[in-house]
Amino acid sequence: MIVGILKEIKAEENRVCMTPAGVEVMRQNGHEVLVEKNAGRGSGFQNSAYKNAGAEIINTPKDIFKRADMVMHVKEPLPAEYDLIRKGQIIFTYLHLAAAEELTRVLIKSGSIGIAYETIQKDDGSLPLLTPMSEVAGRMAIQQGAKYLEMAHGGHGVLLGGVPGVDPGTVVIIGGGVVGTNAAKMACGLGAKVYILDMNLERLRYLSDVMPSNCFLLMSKPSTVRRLIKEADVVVGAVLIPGAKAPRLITREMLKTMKKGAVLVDVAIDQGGCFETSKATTHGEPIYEVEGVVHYGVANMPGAVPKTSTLALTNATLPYAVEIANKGWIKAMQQNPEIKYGANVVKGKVTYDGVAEAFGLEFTPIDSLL
Amino acid sequence: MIIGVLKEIKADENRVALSPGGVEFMRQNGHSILVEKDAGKPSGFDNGLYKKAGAEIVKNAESIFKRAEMILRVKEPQPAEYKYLKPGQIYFAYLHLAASEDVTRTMVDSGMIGIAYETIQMDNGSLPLLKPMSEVAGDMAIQQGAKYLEMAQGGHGVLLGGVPGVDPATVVILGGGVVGINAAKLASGLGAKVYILDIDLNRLRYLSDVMPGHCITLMSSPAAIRDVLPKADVVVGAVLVPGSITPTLVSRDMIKSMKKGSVLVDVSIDQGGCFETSKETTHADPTYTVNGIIHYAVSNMPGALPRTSTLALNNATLPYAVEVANKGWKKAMLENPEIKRGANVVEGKVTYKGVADAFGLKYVDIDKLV
Repeated sequence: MIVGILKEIKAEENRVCMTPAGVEVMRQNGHEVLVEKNAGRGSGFQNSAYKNAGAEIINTPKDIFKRADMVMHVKEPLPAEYDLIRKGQIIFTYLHLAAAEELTRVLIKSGSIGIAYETIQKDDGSLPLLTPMSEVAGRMAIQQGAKYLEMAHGGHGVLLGGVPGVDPGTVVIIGGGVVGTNAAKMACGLGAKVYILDMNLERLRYLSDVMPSNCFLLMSKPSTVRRLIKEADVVVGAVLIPGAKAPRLITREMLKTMKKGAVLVDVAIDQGGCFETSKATTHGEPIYEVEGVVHYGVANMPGAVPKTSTLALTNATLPYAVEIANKGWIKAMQQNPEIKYGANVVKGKVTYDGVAEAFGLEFTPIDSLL
Repeated sequence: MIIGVLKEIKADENRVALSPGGVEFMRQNGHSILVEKDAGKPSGFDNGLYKKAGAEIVKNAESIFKRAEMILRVKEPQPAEYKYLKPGQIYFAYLHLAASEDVTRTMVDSGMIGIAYETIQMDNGSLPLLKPMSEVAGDMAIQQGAKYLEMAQGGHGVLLGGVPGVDPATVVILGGGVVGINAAKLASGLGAKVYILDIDLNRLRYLSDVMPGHCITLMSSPAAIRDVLPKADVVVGAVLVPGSITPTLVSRDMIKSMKKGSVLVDVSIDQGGCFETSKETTHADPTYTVNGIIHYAVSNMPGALPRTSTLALNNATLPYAVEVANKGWKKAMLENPEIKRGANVVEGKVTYKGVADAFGLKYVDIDKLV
């Protein structure tokens, strides 16, 4: 199969969907790899590294769409690429179609095979191609909290870890999933007092087993949230209900009870955010203040650390990409239900019910197309 | 004794020399406390708290200088205050006189008793009133390194702790003293690969005993530094030779061997810095780039975190301040050699050799004056 690796063109997106090491594996599996010029630059991979790994460097996305059987990206195709998508071509990337009606209709019309990173799902319900980015975002959340607690950044001037004889900062993490656990690890490592709130008692028990003793596990209830945010220096919103809007756990009223100069980091912002006062921001202008509380709501946090994020993402995506390339999409979906969950738009039909529902389109079960 | 607590007026200085907790303790020892209005505000202590602790709030610095027998301050007197200084009054603060002839001559002419935080010294040579600020600065150095590794901040986009399956960053710490060990604790806690270099083998042995396994101790030498720099994502300059200029450990040529987008944090900048390319910066404009390497060299790092820094500093200064207040400066110096070493300018004489030498002034042994 011919696999095409496109350069990211969305603002602030410096990741790339395949590393030179990934190209080498694809080549070993007998595939040809086309890489758009400078696609890896933001992540520290030069064209020559791709060439050495056996890729062909291509000057324009047009030529890649023309030649490749499978096109890979990190982000969804942008309008400039809509006309280039061919019938029967596999598009393997983050699609987030439920939030993008125009793109959904473009994919339907094109007759291509849209497989979305974000809906590939394991039997236990976990989302293996979202996990690595949640890990990065969770870990980054604490770095952001520490940074914006500095007075020059609007914070009230508290060092998260304290020093001997001085109280450390208090970090409240709402949600004990992948984001929350990774945030807690970093906050604990810094020496802060850390609270994780979750509604799943089994998960709390597991966290209690694996986290250090400066991490306190609490059952999440509105009263618990109300009580803890008064003490908090940093609050991390780490709640994800797959495919649905995040619940509003901290209202504007509750915000008034927080310390002035405390910091909210809303990692759930992609899903609408879990604070009433949250709105999406960018790396160029990451924060704003409401009621004296600093809000950080960058929608694409992992984009800030593309080297780490690219490696983490491609570690997770490569095995699926290789399987699709080796078997073709039909056989890959027949044999691996995880990949089948990734099918969003196939040959003009919407095969993911969440997307069909969002825009009142007809839903076609993928099994009828295999 | 009547003790005056002045508001800090130097730029970027948000700490305060006495917390309400300290006021209460002074009151218990029978002293009267005057606190300048809003002195504690940036550190989160409002006037009401000081009043409750038993202080009198005074509107301006002038009347504090007029009434108080001992002035407590974080920083040295500022030019606007020179005219208030008077004979016999104790001024207890960071003075850093060797760096300012103007302040030195003013204090000598005034006939006051200048006791410097930074030269109070224990019998084992340690500097108890510098230590808490070194702890804060060491912790902060890693937070800064993590921040400036983000691509939006100019870094090459690496997450310090990595994520499962992706290499963490490498942090190189030059100097294993108070700053270095605190930086190493934080970097290790975040999950980075950490190297501490020091020239004291016994100190390296101690560090090896107390630090986690992913913190590697190395005997420092130009060759060892050259060897480790190309691997580094963050380098922390944490070398202090008390009272003298920091040696230049990393030359401009050595910096060329480093990765583009890596970060140097020079905590030694107050003492001239340990990178050849270091120059002092401020919290408002903290970084600049040389050869693609980001330099962070803010001279008053703890100023960004006034709450933590004020408490840490107060914990250390309060016992000395109480002793001076209880006994008067002469008896306190006679009975406690640590306080005696703090004497810099006493009744018109320069009593600290380094200060006298710096400006060709006559040095008078403090023992002759007590």
